[in-house]
Amino acid sequence: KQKVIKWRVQDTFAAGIALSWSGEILARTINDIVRTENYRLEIEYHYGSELFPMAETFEAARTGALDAAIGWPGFLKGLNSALVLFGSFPNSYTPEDFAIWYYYGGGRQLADEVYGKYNMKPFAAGGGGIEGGLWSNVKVTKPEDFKGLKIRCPGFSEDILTMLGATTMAISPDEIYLAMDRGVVDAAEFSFPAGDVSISLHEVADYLIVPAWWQTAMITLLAVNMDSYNKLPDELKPLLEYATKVSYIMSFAKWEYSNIDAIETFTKAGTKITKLEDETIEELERLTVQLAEQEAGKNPDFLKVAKSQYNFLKGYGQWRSHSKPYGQGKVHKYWPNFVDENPQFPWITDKRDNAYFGIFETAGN
Amino acid sequence: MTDTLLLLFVALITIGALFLGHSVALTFGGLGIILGLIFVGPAVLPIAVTKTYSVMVSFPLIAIPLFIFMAYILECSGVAQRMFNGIRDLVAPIPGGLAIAVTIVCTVFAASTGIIGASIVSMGVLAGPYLLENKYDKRLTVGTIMAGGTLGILIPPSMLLIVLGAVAGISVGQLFIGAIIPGLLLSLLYVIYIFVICCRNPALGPPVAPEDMDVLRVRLVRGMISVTPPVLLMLTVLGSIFFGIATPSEAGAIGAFAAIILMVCYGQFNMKNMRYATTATIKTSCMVMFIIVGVNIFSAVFMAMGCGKTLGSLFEALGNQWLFFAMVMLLIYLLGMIIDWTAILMLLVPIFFPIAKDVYGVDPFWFGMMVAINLQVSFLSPPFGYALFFMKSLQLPGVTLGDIYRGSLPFIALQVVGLIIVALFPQTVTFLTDLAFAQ
Amino acid sequence: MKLLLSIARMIDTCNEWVGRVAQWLIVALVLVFIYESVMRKGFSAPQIWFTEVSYFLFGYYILFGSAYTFLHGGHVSIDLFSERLPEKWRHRLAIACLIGFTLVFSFAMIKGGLPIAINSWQAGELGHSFWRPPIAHFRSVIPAAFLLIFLQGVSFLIKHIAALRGEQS
Ligand code: NA
Ligand code: NA
Repeated sequence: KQKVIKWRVQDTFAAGIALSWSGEILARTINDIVRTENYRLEIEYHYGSELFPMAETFEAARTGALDAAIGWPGFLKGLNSALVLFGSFPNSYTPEDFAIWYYYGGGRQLADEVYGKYNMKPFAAGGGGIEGGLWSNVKVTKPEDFKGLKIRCPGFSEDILTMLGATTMAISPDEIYLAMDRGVVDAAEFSFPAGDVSISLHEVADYLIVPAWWQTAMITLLAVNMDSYNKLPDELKPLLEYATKVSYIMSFAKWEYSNIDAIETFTKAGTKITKLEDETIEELERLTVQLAEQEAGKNPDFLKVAKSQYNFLKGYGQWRSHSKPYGQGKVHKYWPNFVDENPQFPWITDKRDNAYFGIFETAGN
Repeated sequence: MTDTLLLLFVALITIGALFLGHSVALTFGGLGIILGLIFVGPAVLPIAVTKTYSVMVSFPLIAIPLFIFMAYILECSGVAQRMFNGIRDLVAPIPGGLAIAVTIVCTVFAASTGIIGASIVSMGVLAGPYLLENKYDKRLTVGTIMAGGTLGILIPPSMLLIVLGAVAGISVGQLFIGAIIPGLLLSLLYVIYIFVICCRNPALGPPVAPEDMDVLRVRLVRGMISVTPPVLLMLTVLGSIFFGIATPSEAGAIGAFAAIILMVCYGQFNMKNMRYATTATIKTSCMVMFIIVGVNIFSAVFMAMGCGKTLGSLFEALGNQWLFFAMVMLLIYLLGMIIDWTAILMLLVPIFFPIAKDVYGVDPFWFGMMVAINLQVSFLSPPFGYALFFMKSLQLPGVTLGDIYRGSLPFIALQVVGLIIVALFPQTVTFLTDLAFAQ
Repeated sequence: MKLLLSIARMIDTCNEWVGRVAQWLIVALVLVFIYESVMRKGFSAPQIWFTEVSYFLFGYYILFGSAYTFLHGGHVSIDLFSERLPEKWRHRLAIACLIGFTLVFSFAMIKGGLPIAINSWQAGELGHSFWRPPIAHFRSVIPAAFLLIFLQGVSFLIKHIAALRGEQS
């Protein structure tokens, strides 16, 4: 007889905003494939804030109030800034970079070490691409343009913007719309384009300032409480890891695909998409490095993880430079004659379809 | 089915417990803990603690004590009295004139903030005693203030519409524009109702008797003089939010500060008044905030229990669009009695919206507006609407909980009328959005 | 019973004074907001401590004011039916509710809040803003304030028991 192990899991992200997709896909995949003849793992999935406030989700997994947390670990900055490096860092890796570093470049071992200190077993479980950009009612292209602006942003970008003379405000996702609409903030960042659409930011901002230097990827982690993990039968552990790999790639694909539709929405809404000047991006990179050095001086864990990440980026960067101008930054100029003038992407309209082909689920099990 | 039974069981237990007459906030908290320990396990403790912590770090909620403080300062310094004397001079011959004025002020308040606690308590403190002194019927008085106060979550800006927009995947701007006509419609229904019943029975909201009235010119001049400073204050405060100069919390603080300055100008600034205002403010604020804490904890436990998650399949089988629609509305209304609106949205919207769209072909935008209006009803409806608790906490002289319950009934009926009008004439919500989103 | 009643009075006095101090935090909150508004709008010099200091003041205010509000019967209740009961039964019901709801609730909040607070002190938890203040004191507010609520519940309990036995408080 199959024994069922139940885990209570909460996402950092609320229902309805596209950010919860990695959590949804992960829960579905686990419920589908993490099973053997003897055991089955069942996830009781909750959206952000259902049980614990969004910012406390990882804390809850750490202390055992949840069996696991899924989502962006940026909320752990107050506990140990090194933990955040597994979620995002300004001017840094893409989701592809992260996967390479994480699975082959020693990232996984470092994650185990740092999260292990806090009684958590981590798994990369979602690879979000670069964010949409900074939603702003003021045109920003140069470093000085940031001076005096009131900006909503979380994580390390807050420190960099403060260095540039901007005021940062921590505003919860629910409140960004009103704060922008009423001019309480001049600019706000939230998420990748599909996430931004879900909270209607294009309705309250004139400009979208690209690229989103502060978050070149949003990695979501599944952080399992160590005791819950230890209690999991050994035969299920590799299956669990399998499930996180499925959700990493599937959430990446879903998020990126839905951005096509989101950008279309912005264009229709008359959003002025504005690029930062090259010198600005360089200046931001310089400040990021300065910040990383400062933080590494204060926190040895940060030093260890950041060193590994930067070393990887440096080594891999050589190869990336050869692949230029291809890769995710490539935009084609010539098209074969069979390409549609306005390509249609039918399933984008049905956001519930995540192109997931269940093994057991579809068999009605 | 077992989930449905569990839901029913929890609802009955909750209603029973609240009627035991213990503090509502502590009953919700205690019951949440007990149900949590039984159905959720020891995790309920950190859930309760972190939910409370999230109230302590919620910027929008800071507006509540600040507005309450402003109201108590205006009250104890006699500024409020003066203001309403002025309003009385202006509306003297109109039956129910003062209550109509209160509804209009509430509508302006609603267009500035999205937090109902702030407007109900402030207007209750400012207008409640004055209406009663002027022999207004106590049920009409509390009903007017509560109904006016709940407009705040429907008329934009509204946190409820923002959360609904995100959860249901609807444009927030569209919801904001769509809510304007239903909000104003309700406000108009209230005004008409007050006017009609006060005409039929002037004892409910007596106009000033002709022999007590000065000539029109004297009245108008005197009225304008006493109304102007406090109204200017209110308009500055609310206007500063409306035009994006200040957040509601900042505006509340500026309002309180300006009220203290008015207090100084009228020669009422002294230790006694300040002590009165701060004492009254802490009691009222803690009451409001603790209900929010208690309900938050209870709602989280409710979610953790997985209550109602299987309700969706029941509804798919209903077969008829209007039957489905009526059942959804009834369920929202019933849940509104025991859990928080955010929990209701998170619990029900992911279940119902896809069914409404795919199975019944309902327009999600119109459906969302109906949900919003209905949630507004649940704020006001006995036995457990937030508005009722806030009203009771003000302890207006001679007003019992029974009066508050009965006072709310005609206004709930008006809200249901509004709901039916919007249901039958979807143009009421689509007219302005079609206009605004035409290109 | 005499001893218990004097303990109850001590608890009341304690919460009275906590409340009388906490009630002035609203004035501090107003001043902090005004200062920030003036500095931000007048001098374009917003304060990095503003958001967190307002959280601190607000959190302390509503939590530490709560036992005081409880003491003065400020927490609203639905007394439609209970007020019609004979006096003896009213006291019995109040005792049951105090134990079943208030004491259970506040005990749970202390038990749940203490480890979070202790952990925050040990880890030296910092706020998220650029200011990064230590926030362990703020994490400790919940267990501390609920201890006061617990004590206030005990005080009411003593008084209802005394009233049942016909003793004056
Ligand atoms: Na972000
Ligand atoms: Na509003």
